[in-house]
Amino acid sequence: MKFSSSVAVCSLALVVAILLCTSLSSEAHISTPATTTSLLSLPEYRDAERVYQSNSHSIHQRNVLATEFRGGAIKKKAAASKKANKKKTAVVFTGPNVLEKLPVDALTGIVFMGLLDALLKKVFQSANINFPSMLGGCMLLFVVAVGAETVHPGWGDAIESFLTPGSALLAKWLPAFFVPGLAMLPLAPSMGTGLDVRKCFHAAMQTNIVSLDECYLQNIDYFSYL
Amino acid sequence: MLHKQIAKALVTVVVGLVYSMTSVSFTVLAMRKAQGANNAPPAPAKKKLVRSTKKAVAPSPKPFSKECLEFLSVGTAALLVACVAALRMDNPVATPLQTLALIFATLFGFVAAVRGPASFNKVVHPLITSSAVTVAVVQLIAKGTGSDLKSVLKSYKVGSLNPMKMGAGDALLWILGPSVVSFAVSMYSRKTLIYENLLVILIGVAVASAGGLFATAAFVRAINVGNAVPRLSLLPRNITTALAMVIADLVGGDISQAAVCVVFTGVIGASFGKYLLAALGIHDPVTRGMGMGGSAQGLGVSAMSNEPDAFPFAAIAMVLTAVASTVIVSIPGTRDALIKLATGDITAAAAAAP
Repeated sequence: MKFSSSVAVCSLALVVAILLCTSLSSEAHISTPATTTSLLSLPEYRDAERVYQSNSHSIHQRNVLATEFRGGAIKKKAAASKKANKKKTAVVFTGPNVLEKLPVDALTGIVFMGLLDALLKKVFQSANINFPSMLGGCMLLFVVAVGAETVHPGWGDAIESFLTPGSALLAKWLPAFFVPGLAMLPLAPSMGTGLDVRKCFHAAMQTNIVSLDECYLQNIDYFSYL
Repeated sequence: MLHKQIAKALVTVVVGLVYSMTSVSFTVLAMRKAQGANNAPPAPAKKKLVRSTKKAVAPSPKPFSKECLEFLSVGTAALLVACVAALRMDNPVATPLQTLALIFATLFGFVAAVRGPASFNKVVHPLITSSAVTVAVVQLIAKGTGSDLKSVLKSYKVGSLNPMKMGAGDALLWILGPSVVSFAVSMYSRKTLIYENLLVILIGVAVASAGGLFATAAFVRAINVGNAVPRLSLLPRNITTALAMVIADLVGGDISQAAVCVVFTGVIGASFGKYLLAALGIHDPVTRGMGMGGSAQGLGVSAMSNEPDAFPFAAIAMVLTAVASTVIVSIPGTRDALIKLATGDITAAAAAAP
């Protein structure tokens, strides 16, 4: 029974994989590598050169729109640039090596910071220190970078440039990592019934306390926006 | 009765925000004035000049592509079907499949929200949308397997990193570790600014962190908010979510309630913080940045993005306030004093201590 159910699940997983591949390759010029890199791509506004394939075209379209507002003289330039961009995009999408498209530098940085966090967690646990290892890692890294820069100018900056891609990638997804905190709210110790919460929510909405400045969504700094 | 408790929690968030913003701003302003800084309001720009320099600005690109959203939506749907099937068959791979499905659902909800209409995002923060999507998918799994929401949600975060046991929440919270470590890079990139304004920043951060924690503790006790858990969960209201959850955990609060308080504080701070600073007559960019970063965390910082002189200070204040607050709460003596001040019960402090 167990074997047969395992086989069923495996076949289902295979169907899932096929479904994924089919849906992703439905657009002729977009292949799985493009999607993988779009998931892992860095924030565009931060460093235009680091923008990966899938976003570059839409960004360019917006740039063209912006330049068109400014005057007709730029239009030609923009059109030429658009052509060049299209060419570039096509080459990127049809590239043969998937690994080449992965932001290896960003992933290396994340693995390094993850290992530092895990190492410090073990050290703190063994020394019976009740201090968050993540914050210990943050402070240690900052002190080491500043110290290195003081001892030998350039070393601290090298550490910074090694970790910046990973830091930017984490910052792009950071708010999603807070979701468990909110999603677990139904299990939180009760502060009120569902009706009470709804009443308060409506009261908050009626007083219009939530009218955000548009910019926050479009200006994700290295920090999260929370 | 319980309705009143929630209202009290909301009052704490609003009053706390105003308190933090005014206390940090006026302390920093006093120091800046002593250093000879000018707090005069900026000269109004001439109409003619504005017209000539006005440029058509295209909307900023969305941080996530359409392909990314499609990939996550298809992945969520497919994994959801696979997970429900595996759960119904009581297959051993059901848990990893459920974890994957919920990770995809969380990321899908977030990306969909961020890519959604700005008018909707102005009212409902993407984090809330993402959480709602996640809970909806949990509900679907519960319906599909004939279970109830709470029992499925319990497996969302089990506190284990074993691939066969861990939930989506465990995986996502684990990534918070390297994310907080990466704050060091942001601090390092602004080291010159920190060094040049060290005293002002240190004092501002001390007021924002220690003042925020202890004043909130005193306030929740004074207005008699709920029981010990909501009181302690409200303490890190002005600290960035990543470390607010750590602090809530350290003092014995609830991380979900803490996250909600932080989101509300950020939303209100981003909406009204700049008006409040202007109403208080604070025009010095360093002071405005410190006031906003120390009271309204990341959302407040983002709202300062159109004030280039204030923005870096807001970012510095946000990170350092979070770091300083966590350090304060990590010291057993101050943690116990804080818990005692908030709950008025020494046994609660003993229970929260490791």
